[in-house]
Amino acid sequence: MSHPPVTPSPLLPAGTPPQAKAGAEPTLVLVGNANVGKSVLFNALTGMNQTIGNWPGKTVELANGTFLFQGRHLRVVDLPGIYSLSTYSQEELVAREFLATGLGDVVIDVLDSTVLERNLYLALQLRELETPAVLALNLTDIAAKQGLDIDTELIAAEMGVPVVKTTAAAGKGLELLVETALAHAGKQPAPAPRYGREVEEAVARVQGLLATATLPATVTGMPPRFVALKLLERDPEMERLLAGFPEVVAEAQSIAAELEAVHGHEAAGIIAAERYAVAGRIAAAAVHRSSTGRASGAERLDSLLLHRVLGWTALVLVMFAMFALIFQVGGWAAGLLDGAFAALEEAFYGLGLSQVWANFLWQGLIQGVLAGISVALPYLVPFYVILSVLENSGYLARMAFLTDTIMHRLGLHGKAFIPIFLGYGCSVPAVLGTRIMERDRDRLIAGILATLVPCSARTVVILGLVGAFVGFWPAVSLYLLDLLIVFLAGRLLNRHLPGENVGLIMEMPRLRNPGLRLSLKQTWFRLKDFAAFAFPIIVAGSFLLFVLEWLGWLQPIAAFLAPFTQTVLGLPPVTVIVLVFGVLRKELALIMLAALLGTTEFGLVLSAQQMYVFALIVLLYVPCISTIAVFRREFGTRMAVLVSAGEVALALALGATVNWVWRLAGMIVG
Amino acid sequence: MRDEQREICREDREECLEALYRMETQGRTASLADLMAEPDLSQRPVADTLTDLALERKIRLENEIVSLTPQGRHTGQRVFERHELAERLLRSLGLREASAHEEACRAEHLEDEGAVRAACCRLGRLGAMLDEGVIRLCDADNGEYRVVLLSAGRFQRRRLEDMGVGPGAVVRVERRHRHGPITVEAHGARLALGRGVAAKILVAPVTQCASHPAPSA
Repeated sequence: MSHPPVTPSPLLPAGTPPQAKAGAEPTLVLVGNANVGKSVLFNALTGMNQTIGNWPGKTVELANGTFLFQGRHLRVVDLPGIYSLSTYSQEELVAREFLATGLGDVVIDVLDSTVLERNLYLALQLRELETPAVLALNLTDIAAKQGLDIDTELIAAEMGVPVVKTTAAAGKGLELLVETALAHAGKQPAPAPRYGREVEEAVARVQGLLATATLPATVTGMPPRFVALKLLERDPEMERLLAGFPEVVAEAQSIAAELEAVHGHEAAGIIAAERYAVAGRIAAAAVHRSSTGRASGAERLDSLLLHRVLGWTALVLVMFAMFALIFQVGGWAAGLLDGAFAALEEAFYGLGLSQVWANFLWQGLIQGVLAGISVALPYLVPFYVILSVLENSGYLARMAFLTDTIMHRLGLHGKAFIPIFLGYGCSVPAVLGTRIMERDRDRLIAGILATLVPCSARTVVILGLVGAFVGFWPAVSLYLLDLLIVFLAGRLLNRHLPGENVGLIMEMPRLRNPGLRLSLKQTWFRLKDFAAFAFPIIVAGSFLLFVLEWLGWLQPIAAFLAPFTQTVLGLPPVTVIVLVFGVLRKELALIMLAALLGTTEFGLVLSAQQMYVFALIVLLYVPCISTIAVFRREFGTRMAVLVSAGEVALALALGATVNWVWRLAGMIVG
Repeated sequence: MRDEQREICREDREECLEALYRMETQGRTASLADLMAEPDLSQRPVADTLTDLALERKIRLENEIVSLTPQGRHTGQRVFERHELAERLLRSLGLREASAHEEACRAEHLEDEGAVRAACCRLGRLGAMLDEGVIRLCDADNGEYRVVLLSAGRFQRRRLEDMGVGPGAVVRVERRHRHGPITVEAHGARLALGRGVAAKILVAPVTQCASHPAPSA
């Protein structure tokens, strides 16, 4: 994977010059582990003045907002939840690029007070960057409930930065937090805590080395100690930045090797252990347990949710409830919208525009938008709300834990279960849902598998054609065949995509009340984002199809492909047109097929074999245009094209195979 | 640390055990280099497979000599007999073994002396650790353990270290699903680890009499 050179401008929200320092709009940067209440804090600060988007060129969510504080306009950037400033995941890479290049005026590191030791690990890494920072000890209400008494002054003295206690969910401590942050914005903080003697000696030697070279501007902006630590850790990103100085990198590596010879472990592991040692020392000194809390209700619920039998029962129930909710609500809303749009169409054609113009406007432009609205939105809204609730409540992690063994057989880990399961409903949320995984490789595999799973629109075709006119078991066989394909594709992708299969390494966050308001708010901003990137593609696609039809090119194309369609696939030539339009909306395929064949009694005009092959092709060939749009957004244009083309090829090849096997079997039997 | 990024599969283990069994019946002792020279194993990550087998108590490592445990001998014998049968069937069908190709592999594999020595050294260290009661985290019962070594790939190693499961860290196993993931507590935080991940974390039990005070439960 190649990274663009570090240019500060694209990382900052639009409209803010990168040099904007104190004086203009001060920028606060929120950093922290996942599940520490960072988004709650962000939402409490910004209210509705926020946007959720993507980091340029990355599939990492970027939230930024503004708010008015004591008459000053402030800007807040919410970095993704991370555990470290290594650069092994997109989130970490984005966060580090942002922090190391000195964007933003002050960093607010949000910590979970109940897991202080582990949270201080990231805080120590932030201190290595020597940027102005404030530590927000969040979730203090829960810490108090657990009988934890935390000495903030001691932590402030040890870490060299101010510490403020907050309870973001109740809005407590936020004013003091922002005041403290503003007071320290742009000011050089106290030196960072030091690590063990051997590590510091190695760091000093590498720093000396760095002082002798004229380094590129991308590196001189960072503190030398940070650069030295990263070189000792053999951090690939830092080595890439210093690719022009092979002798510096080599010398740093030999210093690291000396350190490794003493300890018998890698330097990165030694430094990580040093940080944990400091974190452990500070936490042990600052946290006093006044009473030992008994097993709380949440803990008892957790034992149930992770139980081998009861946990699975609960999981199946939750999945079905989720599915039912998304598709009941979605189906109902889609029906309402379709009705409304039909009325709108009638009204539109009643306006008295000339036929050509009316057709052009309606079929070429408006229909595409409406198709996008009635396919995506009814299913996306409940999906976003539910996903957000699952995520914020901590149940998502439990699901991943339980399904890990199954997903492992596909070369993925537990978190991939959710997008693939969602694929049975709609591929669009399924592809978007791959974001819950950390690694690009896992995301891509899960994304491809999710598009291969029959969504509800394809289910309509399978049931309406094969189920109704061929039989129940042939329809079931299509699902089983699809499962086999998903399984084989998973194995194949896992074997041939470069990269390591990392397996499940995941924090199990505390179970808690998800807060429906936060979920609804996140849904609203994510929907806005979806509309902005998906609709242009949907409209362009439907316009293109309209032009093709208008020019009268569809019949010639069908006629041209007829030899292939008839001999190889054994299908009537008009099905090509159906398949082309099916890209827009797959459930339309059946309606169009009926229109072109002149009957809905498919059994009279198509043989069982033809219906089976047609349904199989619809099941596998390129997902609908909305899915392609989200796929492009998550995995890039190249991948979207490759996967779409690959799936068309797979569908045609399998269709042809089934057709010929069927035909041969017919010959042998008959 | 591993040489190969690829996962050790069942075939790797079986081929390895079979080779050891065959050599044992021939009365030969086996070192790592001997095993690497075996034609059946020439394309396989022998050192890593042996690491896994040693952790599963299928083999013993003593002074660079690899020997089968009763458990490992049982598997080796089974695989050996299965192969014998398959070979006899194939031969009766008139097929001949492609031996020239295997000969070529053998020559190619033995060239890298340095890599063999490094692997020997690693296995030797592992043998010493096993004598001291080191086990894989996925085999550990509920309780406290100290991480000794991460036998994982680079990304996984870094991730585990960042999450506080690096060498030297104390983890408490809380919940185990048979053939599935586990949950552990490390530095006060609760983590879920897939079984494959836990199999690559080598730990030693923290004894009750150790000076390290047990954190409050």
